[in-house]
Amino acid sequence: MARVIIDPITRIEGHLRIEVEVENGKVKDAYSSGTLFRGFEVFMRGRDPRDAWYITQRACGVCTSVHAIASVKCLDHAFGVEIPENARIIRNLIMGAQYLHDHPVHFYHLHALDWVDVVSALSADPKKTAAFAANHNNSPKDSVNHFKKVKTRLKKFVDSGQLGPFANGYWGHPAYKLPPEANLMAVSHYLDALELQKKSAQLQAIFGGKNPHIQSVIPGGVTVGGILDVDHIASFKYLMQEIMSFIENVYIPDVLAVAPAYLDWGGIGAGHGNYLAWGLFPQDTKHHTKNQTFPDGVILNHDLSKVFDADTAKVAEHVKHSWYDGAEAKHPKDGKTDPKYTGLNDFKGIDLDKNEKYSWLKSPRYEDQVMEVGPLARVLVAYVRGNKDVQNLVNSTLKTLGAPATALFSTLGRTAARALETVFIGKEMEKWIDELIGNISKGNVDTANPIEIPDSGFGYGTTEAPRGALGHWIEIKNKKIENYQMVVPTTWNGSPRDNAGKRGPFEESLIGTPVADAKRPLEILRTIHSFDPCLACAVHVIDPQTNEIHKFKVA
Amino acid sequence: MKILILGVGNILLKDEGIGVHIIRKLQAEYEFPKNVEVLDGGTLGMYLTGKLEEGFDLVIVVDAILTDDIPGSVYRFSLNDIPYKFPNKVSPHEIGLFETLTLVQLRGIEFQTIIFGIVPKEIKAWGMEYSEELEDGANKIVEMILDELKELKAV
Repeated sequence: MARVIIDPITRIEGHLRIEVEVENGKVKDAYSSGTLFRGFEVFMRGRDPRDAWYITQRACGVCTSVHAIASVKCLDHAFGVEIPENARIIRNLIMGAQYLHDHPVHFYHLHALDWVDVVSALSADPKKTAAFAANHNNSPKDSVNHFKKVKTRLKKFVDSGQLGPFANGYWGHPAYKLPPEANLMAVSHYLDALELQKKSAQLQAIFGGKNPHIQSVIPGGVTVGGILDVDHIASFKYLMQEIMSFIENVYIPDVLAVAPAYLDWGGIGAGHGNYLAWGLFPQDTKHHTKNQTFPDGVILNHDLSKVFDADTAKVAEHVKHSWYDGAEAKHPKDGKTDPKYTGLNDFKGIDLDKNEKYSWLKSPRYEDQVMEVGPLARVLVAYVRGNKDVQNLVNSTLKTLGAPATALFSTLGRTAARALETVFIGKEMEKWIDELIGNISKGNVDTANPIEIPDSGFGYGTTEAPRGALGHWIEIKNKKIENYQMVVPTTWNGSPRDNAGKRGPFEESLIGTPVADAKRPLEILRTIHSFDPCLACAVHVIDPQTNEIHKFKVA
Repeated sequence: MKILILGVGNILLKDEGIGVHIIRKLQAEYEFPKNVEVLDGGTLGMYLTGKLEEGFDLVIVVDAILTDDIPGSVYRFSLNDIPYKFPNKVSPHEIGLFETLTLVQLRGIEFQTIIFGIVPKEIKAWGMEYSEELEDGANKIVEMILDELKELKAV
């Protein structure tokens, strides 16, 4: 039996560590560890509640606005303030922009190279590539000439002797199945998608004030009432058009072009088959409204005939296998964050008898069930709840790929659901911006209601980050934060075993995954990446990992 | 000649933030003409794509560099001089400046790079000030950047 440990160690010891046991070419057991202590809950205590949204969005440097939104919803509730209709729409547009940014970036820049062999792209014929592309998408950029240029730049890059960039990948791994032309097309779109990333960040900044870390939401509404003019709304609409053109003509077709080579991944990576969504994009201004574009819901045991209402009261966080004090599973409202680090021996391999605690992530459970959160959960809940647009998108995709509905519960299913919801959200956003214009043209420009901090109180706010269900809980005493808890998506998905010993979603989804070469565990990365994990904060240092660097010393 | 001087790093982690500290030194002590932009890039990583595609002829990067050398040692090289990793990464946080520079160039946006690296002493400890061992090296980099600009007749 081989033990594979994937631990992208960075200079601060903060990341995701995955350890698996491989037997007869398949994963037999798996352990997921978050190796970074976040501690936001600890330093929120005693602060002015109005600062909560501003501080908590710093939990992340990428999907920042999601924490701002979850937090202001939590504060709206605690302060007992209802937001104006325009604030609701603008918050939804800000959130939507986050999705138009994160999902394509995830597909192209974090996940594509699990399926696309960069080195193989070098042997592609640009003419055949253009023909392949023409068969699959409507990208205006994709010409023979363009692919020739991309290939030349790529080749120059490799030929310059700097094999470094490519040496780090698992290029040539037998699990790569695409023809060279598909690989070149995908690498080319990978580079084009950087342009999209820039535009969707700009899109969010129009009403968010800036990106990353928006500035314009406050308990009671938003602060951008002063810029609801033709210029800003026209910029928003224009950027939306450009972004949607890429999503519809390139992103979705690329997913459909790559998927046929990997249909076996429609049967790998399922996990427990329990899905949870808090729901997203409220359509009225009531606290915790059920009227959301993505409805809330719980699906159990892969059973698409039933969906249950999601109830935040049913969440409890287990810490038996996490580096925190305490034994009892607690609701986030009563949650404690008392670190108790016991180490991971020498990281040679987890033995639950010796390493009872092995992660900084707690294990949130829903009525003691392990829950997967994320695009697949949202899409499945909307599908079962009867959203026609989502049903059509899912059904037509399954039909195009010739895949059964059960293929949704898989690594491929997660990746497809992410793409489908991106196009769905974009189309909804186009309606919302028109709704906003309608309000303004009727003279309704209210964007915020006054607030008063209560002496004591309690509130919670739920939403969905691109990678899954997100909740913030606050308790206020003497107008200060007494307790603040965040239950974030990667805590649900990346959680360690719970008090009953049940594996977390990452862990369970890896069971049975084929591993062709234990030294190059590409297949494991595919499934973990399909969840879009997010754990650490940024570190940026040049680590040349070579002694060659010494010749460049100047002082 | 359009030039970007870009310092990157996390100023919460002592010497990890040295690139940004050097940029602040430059901003505080000197004035630059319009064709020279001096930017604190923080930990933006991939978000710097847009900025890097604004038509610069030269991008000067200042960052901490990990080697086995003594803290404060200064290195000067270009993007092509050292291998770097293609961003097949686990989380979006891992797309750093080097990957971003590489990707921008692969997109056909061309500019020269000069990278000034300084060996840090402490990068795991919390603290907004850098180690004193880096002071001479930091001043040296400021001097070298100014010389570089003079030589290019950019200032």
